[in-house]
Amino acid sequence: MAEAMSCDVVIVGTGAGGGILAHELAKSGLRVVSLEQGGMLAPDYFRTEVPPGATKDFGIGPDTTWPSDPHDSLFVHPLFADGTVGSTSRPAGGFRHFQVLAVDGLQNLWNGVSVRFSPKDFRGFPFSYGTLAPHYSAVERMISVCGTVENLAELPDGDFLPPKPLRPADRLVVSAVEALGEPHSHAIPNRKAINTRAGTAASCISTGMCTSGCPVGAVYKFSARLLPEIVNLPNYELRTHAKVVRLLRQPGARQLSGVEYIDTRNGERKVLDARIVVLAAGALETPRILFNSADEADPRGLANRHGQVGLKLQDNPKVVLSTSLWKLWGKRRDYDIGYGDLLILLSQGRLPDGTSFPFIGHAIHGLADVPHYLAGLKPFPPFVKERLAQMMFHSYVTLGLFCAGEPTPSNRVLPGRTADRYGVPQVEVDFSIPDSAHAKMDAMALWARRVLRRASATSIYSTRDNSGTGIHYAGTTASARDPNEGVVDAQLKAHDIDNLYICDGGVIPVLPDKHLTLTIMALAHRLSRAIVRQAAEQDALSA
Amino acid sequence: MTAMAKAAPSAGSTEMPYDAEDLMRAIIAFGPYRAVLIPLCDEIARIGLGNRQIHAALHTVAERSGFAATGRLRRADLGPEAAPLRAFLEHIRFASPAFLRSVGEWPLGEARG
Repeated sequence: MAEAMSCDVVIVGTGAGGGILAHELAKSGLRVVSLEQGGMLAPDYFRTEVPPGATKDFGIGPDTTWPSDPHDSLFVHPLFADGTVGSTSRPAGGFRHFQVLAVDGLQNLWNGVSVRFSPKDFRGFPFSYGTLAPHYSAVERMISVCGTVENLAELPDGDFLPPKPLRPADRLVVSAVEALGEPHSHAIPNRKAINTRAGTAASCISTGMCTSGCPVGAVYKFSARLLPEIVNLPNYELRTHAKVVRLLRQPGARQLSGVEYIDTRNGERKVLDARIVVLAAGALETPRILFNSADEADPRGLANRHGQVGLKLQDNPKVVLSTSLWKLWGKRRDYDIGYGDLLILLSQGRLPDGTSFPFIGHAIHGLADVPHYLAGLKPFPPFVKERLAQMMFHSYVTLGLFCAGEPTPSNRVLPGRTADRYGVPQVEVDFSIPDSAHAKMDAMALWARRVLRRASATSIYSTRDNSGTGIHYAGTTASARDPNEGVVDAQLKAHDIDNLYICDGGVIPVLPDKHLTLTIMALAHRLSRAIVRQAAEQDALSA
Repeated sequence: MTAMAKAAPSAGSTEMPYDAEDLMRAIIAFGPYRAVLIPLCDEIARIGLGNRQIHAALHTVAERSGFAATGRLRRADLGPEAAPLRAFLEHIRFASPAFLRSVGEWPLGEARG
């Protein structure tokens, strides 16, 4: 539709939550506008501009560092926003907030992992697994998740496409996990939002990695799958380069009238009136918008009468261990490399006090075309290094394991003292790694070493972190029945504002070990139903 | 020399520009992978100039050695920049078509199924 001055629903953000919401609400007939602060990437962006791996410029970009940490390569990509445009100023040494300012948001670089939270994971939520289960199913069908039915209580099954076949490296890891003899340890085919059907334009072409963007759109993202179904509807508009600055209302009112945003191409400030506002901008950007919407009646920000906005920021503590498996030395590849991480690993770690905790992760085996392994070959002279590199080329395996975050009030997003290049105040992050997270990372690393050793590991390179590099940000606008415990209710409606909803990682009150993206999507699917109902009720009243 | 490889000094610098392709060729000549890398020198210079750290290293080495004036480079002129430059060139060696062909993975960018 032409650029509207008003709409039924404005959705801020086009990532995991915003994309599903836009599709469902536009299909329902409501007049919907999606506001996205970035632009649309060129259709060939991941094919020719910034293709994955070493295809272009040997995989070297402006920010590649020398020598580099092999585990840092995921975090160097030109799409990641810097401190001049991001939610934070990205101060050195602080919490590392990763953000992509473009249509699809972080899903441009999404690994595609799509797992359901288990019923136990919903402890601390104001609703149960059963409430969300049908929405998980609906979303899995919409985005095409591959995987296998495993009947594991800790990882509910879904509606799956067939996964890609396991490779020799995967089979070594599966055997190693089985050899542990632990009933709680599992290595199963990964569950990813990837089109594994053969013969379509968006079929997976097996690049061996997904986190650098998919050249063919085989990994789900809004612009590749759902946007084409609604983009030409007369009741839908995607407005790019539209950076929402604040929410608008009459002072003290419980109803918003709309949003104010900046056209980032010319700096012009604009207003869009809306009956319903949904913030799906991410667990740091959404609190930023709420803080920046402060007025005389709510000087700490909107939806923040109880001081809950920004509290309990969480990200998954993680360990990453890489090695070369000597049983694969000298092997040539005669198999489908697939999408890199073909296995999910599940287990439980044991803490010094005897308690146990669950964790989840992946076994990754991709093409070593970008030679991150060189750091491990440093002691060898060039002629030996070359022979070793050839012999070991198809032997590299990385395990990445994640455990649950902790909802600690002192880990929080708060109004900042800096502003971005558009003059919009940024937020700051207070975050320290809880002692328990260190203990859990120790336990996960120990388990991973046991698995890798059994799989014929050689030298193991290990890193750990819990300061933003999990890129699973949660908790800052938590859902809770009690307004003193969270920002939104069980329906994701703000406790303080009657026509404001939030649907991003921030609403997840307690981040389990599992990747949160599918849950954000399922929440968005559920929320779309509630918004359609609310709009219909409003229409009925006004009629 | 190509226009693309003509490296401008950093903002505010009063140093003369230098020929990045010639400088890169001189640096590659010190290393063990020169047979593979010299033919790729144009491309390597372009990529190096596009990388912040390598661009800065090239500029520092050029200043230290007076390369713009003399066109000569001694190993000692590399100084602390030797480590990042060596890592950069080694990366290219092991991501080069020649190496990837030797492990059966060239060309890149095609389906791997």
